[in-house]
Amino acid sequence: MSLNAVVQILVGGLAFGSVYALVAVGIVFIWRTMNLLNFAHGQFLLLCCYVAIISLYQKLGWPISASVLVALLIVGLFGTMFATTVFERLRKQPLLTSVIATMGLSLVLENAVLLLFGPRPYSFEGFLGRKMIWIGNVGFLANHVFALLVSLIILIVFASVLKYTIIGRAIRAVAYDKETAGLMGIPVPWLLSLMFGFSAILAGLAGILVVPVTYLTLDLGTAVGYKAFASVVIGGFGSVPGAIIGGYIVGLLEGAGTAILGTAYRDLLAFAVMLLVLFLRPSGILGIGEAERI
Amino acid sequence: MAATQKIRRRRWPFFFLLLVALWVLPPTFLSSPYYLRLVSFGWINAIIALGLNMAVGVAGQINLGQAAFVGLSAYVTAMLIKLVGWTWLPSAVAGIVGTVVAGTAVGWVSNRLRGPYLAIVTLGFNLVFQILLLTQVDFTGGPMGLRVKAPEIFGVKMNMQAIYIVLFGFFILIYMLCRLIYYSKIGRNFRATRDDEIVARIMGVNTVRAKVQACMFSAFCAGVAGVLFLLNYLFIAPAAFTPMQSFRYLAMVVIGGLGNLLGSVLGALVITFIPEFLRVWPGLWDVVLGGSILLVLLLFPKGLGFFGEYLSTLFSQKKIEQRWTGQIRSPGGEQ
Repeated sequence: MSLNAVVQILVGGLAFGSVYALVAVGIVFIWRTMNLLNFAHGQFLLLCCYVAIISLYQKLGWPISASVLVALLIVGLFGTMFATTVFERLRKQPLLTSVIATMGLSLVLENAVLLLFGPRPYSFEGFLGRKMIWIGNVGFLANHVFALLVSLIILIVFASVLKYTIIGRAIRAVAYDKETAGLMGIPVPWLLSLMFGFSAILAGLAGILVVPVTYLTLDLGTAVGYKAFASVVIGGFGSVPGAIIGGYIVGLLEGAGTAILGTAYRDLLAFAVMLLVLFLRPSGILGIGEAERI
Repeated sequence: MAATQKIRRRRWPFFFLLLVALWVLPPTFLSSPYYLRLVSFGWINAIIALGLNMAVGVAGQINLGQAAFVGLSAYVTAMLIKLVGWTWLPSAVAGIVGTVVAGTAVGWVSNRLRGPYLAIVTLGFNLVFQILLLTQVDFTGGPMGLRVKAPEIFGVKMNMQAIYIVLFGFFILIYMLCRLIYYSKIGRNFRATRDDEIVARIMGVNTVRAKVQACMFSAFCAGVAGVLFLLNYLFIAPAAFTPMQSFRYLAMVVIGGLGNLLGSVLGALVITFIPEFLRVWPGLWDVVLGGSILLVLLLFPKGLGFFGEYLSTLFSQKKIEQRWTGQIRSPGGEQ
C-alpha cells in the first residue's frame, strides 16, 4: 500500500471518527445527566439532515449555511420538546422501560422520515464539493478534512464550556447529584432539557458533516447511532473523554476494516471490537468507564 | 394470568374447544398457503415473544438481539441439512442446542457487569450476526438466503397443513412450559431479581444464576421458534433477523404487557397480522408501533395483557380487579 493510500485511510477514518465522537458525546451526556440510554440519538441526526438538505436547501432553495443553521435550531427545539414531554417521564422509570421507550421513539422518528421524504437516497455535495487538498504528493478529500477540523473545534469549545464556564459547572453538578444541585439553586429540569436539546444539535451537526462523505439514506441514523454506541463502549462507558477517543478508534477501525478486509466487512470490525472490549475490559480501553463487576 | 389457573370445572370444556378450534380450523379452512403460513407465523412469533417475555418482562433482562438467536437456530439447522446432509430431526436438535449455548454464553458474560450492558451486548451480537450472514456467502447464501426441502414423515412429505398442526402443538407446549416456570421456584427467583436484586440476594436467591437461566430459557424458545420458522417457510434470508426485527419482538412483549404471558401471545398475533393490511403505506405501521410502545410504557403499562385477563375471565367467573393502568413493576396479576 502506498503512503498516499495509508494517509487517505487515516484521514478518512479520523473524519468518520470525529463524527462518531460528536454523536457519542451526546449519548454519554444524556446517560450521565438523565440516566437514559438514548437509542434514538441517531434519529435526531437523520431528522436534521433531511430537514436541512431536502426541505430547506433543495426544496425551498435556501442558502446552504442558513438551512443548516435553521435545521440545527429546529432539531435542538425538537430535542428539548421531547426531553420535557417524553424523556422527563422516563427518567424516573427503571432502565428497562427507558431503553424500550427510546427504541420505540427511534422507530417513530425513522419511519416518520420515511413517510415524509420517501425511501429514495439523496446525495449532497457539502460546502466544499468534491475538491481535493494536495500536500506534496498526498491528496485528501476536502470534505474529510472539513469534517475533522469542524468537529475538533466543536469538541474543544464544548470541553472548555464544560470546564470553565458557570453553566458547565452547573451541568457537572447536575450529572453528579441532581438533588443537591437543585438545593444549590440550579434549575435542574430546565438544564436537563437544555442539555438534551444541545446533544440533539451535536448529533445533527455530525449528520451534516457526514452526509457529504456518504449518501443521505434512511439507515444513516441507525448506522451512525450504533457506531456511536460502539465508541461509547470502547472508550469506557459513561466517560466523555472516553467517548471521544472511542469515536476516533471506531473511525480508524472502520477505515482499516474497509482497506484490509473489504467493504462488506466495514462494520464488522467496530462491533467485534466492541464485544471484545465488553468481555475483556468492560471499563473501556483506557479503563475510565463506570463498569462495575458483580 | 392467575385467572386461567383458576378455571372453574364447568368452564374448562369451552377453553378446550377454543384450543381445538385454533388447532384444527385454520388448516381445514384456509385454502391459500399464504394465509396459512401467516397464521403459523403468528404462532411462531408468539413463541418468540413468550421466551423474550420470560427474560425481559419476568426476569428484567433487556435483550435487544432476540432475532439473532432465532436466526442462529434457523441457520444452523438449514446449514446442517443443506451442507452436511443431515436429516431434519438431528439438525433441529443441534440448532436448538447451539442457540441455548449461545444464549447462555451471552447471559453469562454480560451478567458479570452491573448496568445496561446486556442490552448493548445483545444488540452487538445481533449486528455482528447480521454482517456475518451477509458476508459468509459460501455457508449462508448471503442476501439470497437458504432454501431447504420439507421433512418427510414415514416417507410422506409434510404439507402445509401437517406443518401447522406440528407448529401449533409446539406453541401449546412452550406456553405450558412458560406457565410452569413462571409459577415455579425459578420463576419466583426471576421476579425477585427483577423487582429488587439486592433484596433477592439477601433472601438467598442466586441472582446471577437466575439471570443466566432467564437468558438460557429465552434462547431456548428462540431456538425452537427458529426451527419452526424454517419449517414454515422452508426458506430463510438475513432480512428476517435484523436488529429491527429484534425490536419488533420486543414491541410484541411490551404491547402485550411486560411479564404477562397471555398478553405476549396477543401482542405477537396483533403485531403479526395488522401490518398485512397496511402494506400500502410503508413506514406507517412502524410509526404506529413505536407510538403505541411509548403509549403503553408511559400510560398503560399492562398493555394488551388487560384483554388477556379479560379473555381468561370468560372461562372462569373471576371478575377483573385491575384497571387499565397498573404498576409497571408488578405486571399482570401476580398476587
